[in-house]
Amino acid sequence: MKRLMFIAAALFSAAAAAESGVLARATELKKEPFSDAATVQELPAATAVEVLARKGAWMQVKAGAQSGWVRLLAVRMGANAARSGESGLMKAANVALSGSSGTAVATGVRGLDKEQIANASPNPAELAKMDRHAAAEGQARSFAAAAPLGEQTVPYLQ
Amino acid sequence: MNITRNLFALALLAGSSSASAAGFGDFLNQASDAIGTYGQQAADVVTDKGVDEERQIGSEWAATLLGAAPLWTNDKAQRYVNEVGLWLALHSERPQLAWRFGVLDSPNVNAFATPGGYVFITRGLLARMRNEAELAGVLAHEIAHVVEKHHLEALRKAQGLGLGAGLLKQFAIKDKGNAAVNDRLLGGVKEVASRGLDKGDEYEADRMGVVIATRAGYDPYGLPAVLQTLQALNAQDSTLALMFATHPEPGARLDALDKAMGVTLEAYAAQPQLQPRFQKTVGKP
Repeated sequence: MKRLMFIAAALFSAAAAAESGVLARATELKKEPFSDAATVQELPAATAVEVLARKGAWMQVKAGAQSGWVRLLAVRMGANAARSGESGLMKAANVALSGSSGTAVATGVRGLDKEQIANASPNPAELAKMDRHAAAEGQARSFAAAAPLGEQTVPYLQ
Repeated sequence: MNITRNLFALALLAGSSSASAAGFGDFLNQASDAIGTYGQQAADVVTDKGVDEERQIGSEWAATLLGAAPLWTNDKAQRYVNEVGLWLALHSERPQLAWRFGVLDSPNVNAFATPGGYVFITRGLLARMRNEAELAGVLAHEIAHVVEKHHLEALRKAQGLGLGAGLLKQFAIKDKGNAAVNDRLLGGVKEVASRGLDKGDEYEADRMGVVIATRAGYDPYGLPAVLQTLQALNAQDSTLALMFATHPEPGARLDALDKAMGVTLEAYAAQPQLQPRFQKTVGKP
């Protein structure tokens, strides 16, 4: 069990370490995740970065020899990271996710592709089940208070 | 995109003051002449009757999605998603709808809404999230679609209704007992479900979603973080096929959010992400 957990942790950190991105625009590399923090370096658009951590609006990255924080919205992720789709790890995960093996269909994966939606018949029993999971307003309010989540008045963006 | 939005706003404006201009009425008559036989039949399917009927279309639509993939059999996670979802919806312009949220038992990566307040997320997408703020960002995007009635508009288009019928802001099943009418509705629903909404509607739901999540007290950057996760996945992966076919690509959505958000919501960036509660409740879907 311990060994399994270690392997899982190793796989996870390998995947996380491989998260790479590129800057969509020129942006400042900051020493801390704040807009008024010291600027380590001005990074030009298309700079390759390695993602180390996320914090709200900010992403901790390594860019060449430097590391620091850039605005999360300036970063676009690479499509060839180790987490990619059906190669290896994720394929195994998908097999695990698709549940009992006896339900496999022609398309290989269960549920919610175009073909399966086209062939679907309404399932009122599941809809009734969904009703039973509904939250009442009071319940949602105490759920938020427990976090706690504070309400804000914010206008929509243009 | 701005042009699309302005046109959309114009259409709404025209719809809300339909008695205003005689010239517009003439235009309407021409438009309804042009609807043609099929359009006229389809126009009978939907009419302006309000929330109950919107709900009726939405529940049939939701039942169809549930026919493609049932609910994930994890009651704790289902209740949790309903609590997060309703809390968000209470900060939208339609807090009083009978909101229902569900996790679909599918490894595919996607989220859906249907008219009247039904919102779905797949187990596959939930599995790729890090915290409650990310879940909130995605649910808030879907809530925005419901608030703006994007699906009703798409259904109207899929059924070939002309511009005249576009003035009907709300839709309803008029002829409930008629099997042919129901089949036509079901066909339209399936078409929209597999073809997706207007790209402009997706961008609008992104802009509204980050604000709804912020109003509810979450870190505003949950939705952008999910879009980055999606961007890092391999677009060839079959579990992403439908989502990528029905949405603008994640990079374009991030570009648009970057422009729209600027630094406006950075003041709220320290609001909670609630990773422990998310991990504890959802586990590893």
